[in-house]
Amino acid sequence: MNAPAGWLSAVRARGWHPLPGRGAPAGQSLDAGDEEILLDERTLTRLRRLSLAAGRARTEGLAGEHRSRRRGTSPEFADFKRYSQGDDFRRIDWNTYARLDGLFVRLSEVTTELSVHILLDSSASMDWRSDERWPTKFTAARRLTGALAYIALWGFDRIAIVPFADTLGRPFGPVQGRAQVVPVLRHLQQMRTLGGTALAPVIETYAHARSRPGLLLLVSDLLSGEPDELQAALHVLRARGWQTAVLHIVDDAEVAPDAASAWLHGDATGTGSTSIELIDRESDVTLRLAPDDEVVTRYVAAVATWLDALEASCVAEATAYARFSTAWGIDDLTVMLLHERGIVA
Amino acid sequence: MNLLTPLGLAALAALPVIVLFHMRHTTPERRPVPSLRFWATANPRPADERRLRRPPLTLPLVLQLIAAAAIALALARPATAAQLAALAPGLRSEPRHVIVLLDGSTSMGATIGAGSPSRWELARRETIARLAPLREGDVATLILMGTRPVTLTATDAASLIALRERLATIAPPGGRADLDGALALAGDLLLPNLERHVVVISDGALTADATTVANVAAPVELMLPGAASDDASANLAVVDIAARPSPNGDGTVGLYTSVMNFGPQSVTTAVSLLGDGLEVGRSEVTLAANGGTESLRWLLPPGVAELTVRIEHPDALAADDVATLLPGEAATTTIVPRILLVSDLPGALARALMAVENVLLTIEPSDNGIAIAGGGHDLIVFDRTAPATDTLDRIDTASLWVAPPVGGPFATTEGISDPEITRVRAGDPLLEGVDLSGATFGPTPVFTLGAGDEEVVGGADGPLLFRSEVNTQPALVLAIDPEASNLPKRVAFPVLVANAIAALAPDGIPAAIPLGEPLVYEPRAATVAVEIAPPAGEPALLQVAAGPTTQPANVASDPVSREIVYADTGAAGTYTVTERDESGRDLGSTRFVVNAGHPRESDLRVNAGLAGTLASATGAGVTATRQERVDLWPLLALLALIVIALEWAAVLRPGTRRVVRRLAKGHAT
Repeated sequence: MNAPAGWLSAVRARGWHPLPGRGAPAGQSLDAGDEEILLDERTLTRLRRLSLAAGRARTEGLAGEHRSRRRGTSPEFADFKRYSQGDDFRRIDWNTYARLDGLFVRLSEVTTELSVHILLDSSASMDWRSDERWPTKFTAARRLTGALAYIALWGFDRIAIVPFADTLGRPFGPVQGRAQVVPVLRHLQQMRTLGGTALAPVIETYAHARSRPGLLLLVSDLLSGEPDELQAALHVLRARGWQTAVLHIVDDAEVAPDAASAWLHGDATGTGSTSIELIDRESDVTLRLAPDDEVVTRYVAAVATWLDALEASCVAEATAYARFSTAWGIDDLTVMLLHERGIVA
Repeated sequence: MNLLTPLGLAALAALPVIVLFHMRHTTPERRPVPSLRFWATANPRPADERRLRRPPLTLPLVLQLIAAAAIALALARPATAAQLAALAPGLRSEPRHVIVLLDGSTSMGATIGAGSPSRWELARRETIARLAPLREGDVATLILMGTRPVTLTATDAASLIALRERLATIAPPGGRADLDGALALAGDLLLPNLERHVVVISDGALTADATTVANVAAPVELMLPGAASDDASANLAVVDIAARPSPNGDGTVGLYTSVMNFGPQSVTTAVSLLGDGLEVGRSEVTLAANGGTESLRWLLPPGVAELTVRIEHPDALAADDVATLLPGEAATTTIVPRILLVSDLPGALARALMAVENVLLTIEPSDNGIAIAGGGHDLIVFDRTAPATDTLDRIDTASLWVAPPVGGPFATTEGISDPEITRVRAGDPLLEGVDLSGATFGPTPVFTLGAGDEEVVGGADGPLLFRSEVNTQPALVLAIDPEASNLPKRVAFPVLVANAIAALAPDGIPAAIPLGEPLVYEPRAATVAVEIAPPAGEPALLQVAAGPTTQPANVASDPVSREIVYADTGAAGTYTVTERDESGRDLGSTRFVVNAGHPRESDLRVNAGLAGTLASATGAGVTATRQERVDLWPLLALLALIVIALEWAAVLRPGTRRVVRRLAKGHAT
């Protein structure tokens, strides 16, 4: 399915100004204001070929493009079945009767829509980056959220974007239809970080507040609580029929040993600091440490343990888990990872 | 390679300081992080607990260490051998301090032969040649040795050029060169931390004290440009000339002169006597070799103002072949002391003053205060009188008080006595030729000595003749009244008066001054300028310092010396001195003579032991011959500058931080 002609012009007319972006030709990008470029034309073209994998998430309605087990009267042929009493004889295939001398009824496929809920972490910890070349985690998360929302809207799914920090923020949606692409992206552009994080309580609160489960995409740096708490929250979602995917946004300096060491040892003068004072973005608590290799080694080890625990928690609750680096952007790597983890198809 | 200032290596102590500086914990850089949960568990030791960290191998540290080491080496001033000089073209060797002792004595005027340059000219060329290699940073000191050494110093390129230009035109001061004094002066002038070298450029006709030479902390090199053999240095000289009255008492005056031969061969020569330019006598003398002396005597023709003795034999030094005498100085001089006699009834004292030769006497009554305080006199004599107080306060010249009245400027006690001499200051120049035995004195007030007064002759009750001061000017007080004493009837009185005038009035100009000796004398009271015309060349006009001005009694004023000093007596011959007053009018003139002949200075032969004596200088042998070395400190300083610039670039350029990290990573692994 192709985008309607003049769609980009319409987007621009609604206040989106293109800026040259990384990997995108000049004049073919959608920017989120300032320096934050959310999606470019090439990426959008790629995203149009994708759809969210419904999995075991319950689909409903008829507007969507997700295949359903239900059979209906649509023109999309699905199968034949022998005529039985009570069937609509208007659907008997007379050509088959002529060839086989038996009555068969044509079955049609019914497509349904998916309810997509995107919980976007807007805590202060997301507003951080280790290198000026990369976007903040919040920008990367919004970019990923925008891509997923675009896929969903393009497939006529219904989406709701809910920011959260220590509590749930004001949601955007549910909305449906391609006409909502621009409002969604604009909303993402205008989002700001909120404060501290309470991840597990927020998830549980959201799950309990929705009677009809759907596909829940959690976009967060997960720097709140322990993996056990996350697993408990995921269990609640699973128990209530939600299909969940955890999209973990990380900065390389948080998880990669080399990047962490480089970030820790580097300073403005290049002369190396004898000590640095780290400030927690959410709590403003400070920690003074000597940036030596030993500290980096222990830090990386602690992070690796934490990541393993996170992944194990997700696996235990049949939840897709994918880790995205802020350095990636919405490119082949991200799409491939979404494919691999069964989030998109 | 040598280190010229090894102490500069002490700057290497900065290296560990720099390392320590980098090891210390600085004010921590504040960095936000998403969460502290993993950093807190990864940081077992808070940074504050450790005062120092392991030395970080960073590019800035390495560059700073290199820069500090380069600066320390530059301060130590390594110098390469001459073979390596080509590696550092344009760099200079160690700064030098060269002190040249240039002999400017009379003997330097000698020539080897007719038409050849004088020793002075050769020595001057040699001096210029020695100073030519000096460059910026070198220091040159020239000590021109005459009777009074003259010091010229050049410390930079411009002053070196100026010194060379001055050397090209400078005239020899003449006189006798004091090498010992010049060496001592050179030893004091030697600058530390420089390569020092002393060069004596002379004709060798000098002597040096071994002790003085040993104290010179630098090698002393002797240069003898134009030094000749003893035959070529043969010289005859008139070394003495004097006129004295004949001991026969016949009223004639004899001229006595001595002629010496400083050559290796005996010489027979004619010696002529010129009176006012005309030959009035001639003698043949034969002078033995090596210091043979002959004395000649002529009767002086009367009325001759100037006598010249001349050796009629060409030799190396012509200046000392002639000697001049001014026997009739009194007849030719018009510079005499001006004496004011203040007396209401001139008597014995006036007669004694009139008898003194070469003075200009004026007599004024005691009530002529204008004349007394008007100035223009070299001496005021008060004869049994004293001026009024306001007049007395304005007297600004020396004074002689004879029988001053009671209540005058000098303190007296009650009573009058007929004194007898009980104390005499032995050897006092006032009493030279004065016989006071048998002298009787009439009634005399009893004077008391004030602070600073000095008794010359005293009686039982008080001083009879004493020195004092009036308005800070010297005063002499004769307490007795000559009219009531038998002293004027004795020879002692005019002699005493003449001695008093000699003591109080300014000295005259000497008739003769040795070559190179300065003329020092005090002009007359009214003189404000003195013009001295040398035998050749432009006359010099010397300003006389203003004398003590009349001040109120309660205002202190320091006496100002009115002496003039004329040092340009390097040329032999007759000098004319003319004194002028404020309006430029001539107050009088006189002449003095400078003769070149001297028993030591006229001996032109080289002192064979001089070189050996000079070789005993403390610094001798240290750098007897200069080793050309190239100072590398500019290169090292440049290196340090470049490294510092690189360090700045490394700090300021963000890209270099990655290099630092890679280095640190490589170091860690």
